Amino acid sequence: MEKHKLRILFVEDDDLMRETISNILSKSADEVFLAENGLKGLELYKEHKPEIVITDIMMPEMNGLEMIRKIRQEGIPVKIAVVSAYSEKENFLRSITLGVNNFLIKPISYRDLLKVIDDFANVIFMEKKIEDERNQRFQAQEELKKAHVELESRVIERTHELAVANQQLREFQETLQDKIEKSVAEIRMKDHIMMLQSRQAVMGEMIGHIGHQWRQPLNTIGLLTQSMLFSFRNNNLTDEVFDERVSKIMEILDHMSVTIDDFRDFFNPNREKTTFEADRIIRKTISFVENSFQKHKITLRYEKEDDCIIEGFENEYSQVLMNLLINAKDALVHNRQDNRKIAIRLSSQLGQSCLEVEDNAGGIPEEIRENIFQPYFTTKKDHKGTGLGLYICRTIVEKNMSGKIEIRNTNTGVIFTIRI
Amino acid sequence: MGNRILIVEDEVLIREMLKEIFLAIFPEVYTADNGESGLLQYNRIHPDLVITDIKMRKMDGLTMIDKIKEINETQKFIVITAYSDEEHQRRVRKQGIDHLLVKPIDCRNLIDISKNLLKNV
Ligand SMILES: Nc1ncnc2c1ncn2[C@@H]1O[C@H](COP(=O)(O)OP(=O)(O)OP(=O)(O)O)[C@@H](O)[C@H]1O
Ligand SMILES: [Mg+2]
Repeated sequence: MEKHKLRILFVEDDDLMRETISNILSKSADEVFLAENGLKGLELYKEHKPEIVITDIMMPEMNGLEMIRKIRQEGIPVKIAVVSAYSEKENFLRSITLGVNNFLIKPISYRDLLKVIDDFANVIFMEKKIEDERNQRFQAQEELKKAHVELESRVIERTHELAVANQQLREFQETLQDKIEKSVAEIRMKDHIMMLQSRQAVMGEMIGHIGHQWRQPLNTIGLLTQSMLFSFRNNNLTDEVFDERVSKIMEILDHMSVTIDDFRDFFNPNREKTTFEADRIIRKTISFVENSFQKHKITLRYEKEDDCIIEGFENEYSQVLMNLLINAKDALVHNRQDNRKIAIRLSSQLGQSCLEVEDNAGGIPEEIRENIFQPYFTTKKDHKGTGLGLYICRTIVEKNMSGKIEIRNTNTGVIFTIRI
Repeated sequence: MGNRILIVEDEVLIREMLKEIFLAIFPEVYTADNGESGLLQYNRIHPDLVITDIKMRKMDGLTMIDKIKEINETQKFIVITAYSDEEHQRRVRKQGIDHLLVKPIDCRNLIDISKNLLKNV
């Protein structure tokens, strides 16, 4: 427990008495101030603010009571004891009204004096303790209040931060949404571009086909025309010959326009699902590549075991088969000198159409089996392949037509199977 | 000009047209409808010039040419082809063919070339 300083002001006009009491007091007090009248006492009090004042009443210059009144005006709860004789009854009463805390009766006994001082010390100690506790409590309360305020301001801050974070999150979500939409659109666009690119590759084959398909009839038309000229020059172009040649030419022209229609149909991006006969599309597709296959000495066989009706996009179905056939042709030309074979089989299995394209070009190496369906994966050098063919095939079969495309090596080559 | 010409072509209309046109200029024009019959005809008439298509049933033009060259190394040929691509033409030229014409052919051109080839016979 903290020891409190105890200082005493003793005011007494009798010199002997002052000296005697002062000796006693200095044993209990840390410091003793002595004054011989009220005026001096008041001065000392103001200067030192002692904890205890003990004073006589009857003194020259300023009596004790007057001094007490003035001290009390300072507003400090200083402990004051008055020394008086029994006979001075009115002094006791006045003392009480001035807020004096204790009395000492003359003649002052040593024991009484110590008791008064001891009591005062205790009260002061208790008061200090209470005051301290009150202070502490007050401080704690202040701190609590401060903490509360701080907390509140922090809550406000955090709320703000949270709001900002929330806003950021929302913005982030929005941009994320935007980004997702954008990339979905991009992917769709990419798919679309890939589809076009792949079609272009197929278109090359088709143009070759048309070129070839047309060379023969164009040649015939040319000869028919020129023969008319020669006959005319030799004067034997009769009406019948002329008629016959012209109608021949028109017949051939009709036939040629069918090829154009086929070609246009193939590239017509008709996006409407229809039901079609697989056999018809397969035959048409074969007719597109037949010539170039013959040129490369590839024997193409087609077997239809069952009739199959497919619901979907017939051009896309044709494009898939075309891609597989071109791949097989490329592999055959690359890997085989003779006996190049492609077999196409159409059958119905478990209610699904099953189209198989088999070649004897040596198959697909195990290490690239996983890759061949990836966009832009190609083993063809010098930009001869875009690497989109099989990717587009899978997209068409599995995404657009909810089918399945599978691949399996045989002893001599590979079989692609399309189930729709 | 008493030069003999053999035309080997499997499509009847074209064969007849060519024959008709050639007959207006050359008196002796023979025809065959594939490589096999072309070879038979060749052995019979020994023409000065052979004009042949490539793609034909039974025996194609290039096989027939090989067989004829075994008989007469200096035989003159004009080949008519429907394939316009470089690689194919290179392959045909390697076989020692004098002239390669791509369909559709211009008869004036064909006749000029024929005349030129026969001049040296
Ligand atoms: N029938 C096959 N036999 C052997 N390898 C094949 C066969 N089909 C495809 N491949 C391999 O798969 C690869 C990818 O084929 P894909 O059709 O996707 O592209 P590509 O054919 O290279 O190019 P593009 O189709 O644009 O011409 C080919 O490069 C080839 O190596
Ligand atoms: Mg491909």
